[in-house]
Amino acid sequence: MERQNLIVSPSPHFTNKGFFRAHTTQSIMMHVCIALIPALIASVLFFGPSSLVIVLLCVAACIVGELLFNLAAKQKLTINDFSAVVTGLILGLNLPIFVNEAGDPTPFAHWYIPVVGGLFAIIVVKMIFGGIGKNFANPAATARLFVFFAFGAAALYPIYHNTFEYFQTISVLGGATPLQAVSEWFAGSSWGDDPMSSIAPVALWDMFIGRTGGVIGETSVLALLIGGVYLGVLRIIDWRIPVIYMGGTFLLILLLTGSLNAGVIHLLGGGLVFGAIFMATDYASSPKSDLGIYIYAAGLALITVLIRLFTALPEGVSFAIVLMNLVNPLMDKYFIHKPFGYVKPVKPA
Amino acid sequence: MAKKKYLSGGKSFPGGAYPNASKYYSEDEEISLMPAPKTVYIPVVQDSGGVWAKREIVVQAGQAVKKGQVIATITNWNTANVHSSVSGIVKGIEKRSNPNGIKIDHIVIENDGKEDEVLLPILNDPSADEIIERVKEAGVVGLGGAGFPTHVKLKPPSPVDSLLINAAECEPYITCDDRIMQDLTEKFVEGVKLMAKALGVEKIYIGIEVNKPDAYHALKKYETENFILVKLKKKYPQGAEKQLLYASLRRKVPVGKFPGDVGAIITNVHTALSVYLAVKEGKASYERVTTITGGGVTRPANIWIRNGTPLEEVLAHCGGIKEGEQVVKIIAGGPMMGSAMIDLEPVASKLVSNVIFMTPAETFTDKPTQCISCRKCISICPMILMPVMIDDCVEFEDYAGAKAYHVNACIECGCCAYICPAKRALITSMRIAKDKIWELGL
Repeated sequence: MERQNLIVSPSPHFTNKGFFRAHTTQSIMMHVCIALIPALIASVLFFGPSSLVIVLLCVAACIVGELLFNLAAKQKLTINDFSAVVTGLILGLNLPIFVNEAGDPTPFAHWYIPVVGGLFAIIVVKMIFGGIGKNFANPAATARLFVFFAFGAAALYPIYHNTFEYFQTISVLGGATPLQAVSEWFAGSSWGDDPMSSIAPVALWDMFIGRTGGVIGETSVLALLIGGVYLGVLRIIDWRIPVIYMGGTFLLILLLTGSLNAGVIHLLGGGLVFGAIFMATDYASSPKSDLGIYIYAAGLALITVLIRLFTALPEGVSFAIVLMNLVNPLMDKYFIHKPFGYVKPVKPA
Repeated sequence: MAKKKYLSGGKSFPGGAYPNASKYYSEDEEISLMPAPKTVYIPVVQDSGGVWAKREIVVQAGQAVKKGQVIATITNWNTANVHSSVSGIVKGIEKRSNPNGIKIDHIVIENDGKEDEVLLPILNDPSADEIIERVKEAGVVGLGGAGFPTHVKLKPPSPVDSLLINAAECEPYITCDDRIMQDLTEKFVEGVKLMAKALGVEKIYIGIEVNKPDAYHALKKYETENFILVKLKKKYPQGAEKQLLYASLRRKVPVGKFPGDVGAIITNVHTALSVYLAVKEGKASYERVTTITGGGVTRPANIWIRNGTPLEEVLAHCGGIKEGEQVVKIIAGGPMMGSAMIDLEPVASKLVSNVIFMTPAETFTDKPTQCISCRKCISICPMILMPVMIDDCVEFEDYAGAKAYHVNACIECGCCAYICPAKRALITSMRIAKDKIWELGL
């Protein structure tokens, strides 16, 4: 027997195996990519192939950014863990479709936006802080805010006027997304008013399947839920975060506006479902302890509602996620699980 | 091989992993006998006393010994007698590796093949004290792997009301307890009753995982209101004493305490059998049923092996390495908590319940990568600890921090490292943290 081939290592000698048991970092990231495929398909159906171009530009920028950082810092290459692809996909789906004056999609006109966003997400938010698992906030959410502030007026606003290129059944949409419309409605409404007329001609069903305005990946709640259920069933994401976040937002809106429809519109509209499923559940920037998770998810809901209802911004998901991300290190330090059979240490009298 | 139909239901505990049980190699192999080898190397450490404690060897080179004769005696409260497993001549003392790779004293005895045995007098109706005295004499220790002397366990410092038999056998691969319950049912049940008598308790609970339907049905006919079979979920670490006690009796053992402190004594299946053999057949604990298994061995088996038999010979008895297979790891004990051996120099002993010859497909060789903070280790930990935070503290040598995260409550079951997608050596971190906390007196 060839003894030199024996491996001696500490226990355990057994490991979790199988692609669907999400046994490696790589397979977890691949599952997240798979979960994003329905959203990607929906974006192509509703916004046309140019959405694919934007997403691919973003993914490429993320991979190249990580590769360049690896080379510059003389690290081992880490791009094979697929996490850059995930960041690129999430960021890409968080960008608007770019259009020209006439309203035709021109994905290459603003090619620098996905590229700068991707490089920012990977290099500034992730790699500088230590790479995978060490980012202080969600890279995609932070980069989305970055491009929003850097290029906002030029790049982000046109989308809200010209989104129905494909699968268009409603002929005209006003100048605003349903969320913007309902936000304006709230300022002048009293408790219990119905907001449905303000978002017409969009119906709740349209918002559910994605036939509405917004960034390219967030509109189809149906596609996002498919991905979310997939990740939840495989236990890749902690289902408590999206459930508390979305449920909390719905209840708070219901409480503040007194209208069931307003709650449903806020639930279906904007980046809430996308953010709750794919961004708030980011491993490194969500808390470790159970209590931390509850506070984190509830805090996300509260901040989102406050921003959506009481500020000039219609959309608050990315802000809420990045803000709560920054509280997490503190929660990790102070919220420590009590071990099984814990007894309070008796203080000497 | 057809998959066995599991029993339905089963009690459980929070957390825990579902590793592939891999018991199919040996679960249908009846317990067989292995002939005694020409020479045995009997380790003097076959209990929980530790390898560094001094042992007293009571035989000299050249002396003739009989099977079952005491060759090393109790030196400390947590040590046990060691007996010769063959009759023959003592050749001397040799340093050999134990499964952890530490060189310890082994008494070399050349077998003369006569099988002369010193039998202790058979006790027909023993009192509690007689049973404990006999168990002490016969050197019975906990045969689950830790080797805590049974005579100490049978005299708990605080009053107890139940005896819980750990028949969970939650570690993958191991089948010796399963086979004992099926093949030696009556002796096992008698042994359990003797232990209950020694402890003076009425209630006997047998905690058995649902993946052992045959053993369950074999024991079913002995069930009475004081001999209770408890079905447990197939889950790891179901057989860890705190988890087992919680799953079967819903009692929580406080951190730093023992099951005895909440009124229950837990012992292993094979230990009960050894108690029976010591009391009713007068046999000292010089052999045990060991499972030889894994994808790399030709004939997996559950065998009575004499203590001190070199594992090289045990492997040869089982037909050697399987044709065309490559063995990359040899493990003494289960794959979750056992130790990987450097070679086959270690010998069979009371502490080796299982030897696994693992092929590359069964184990893993991935190098650890950066933690992605996925929280899988937190959600799986049966002690509800936060392994990821402790690992972080150890990386930055913050041992006070590790203590604040309750690392001392860790039972080193291996669930966190099992589930870790980054394949981090979390158990090693836990051990470093515990050692350092002890060393620095934190």
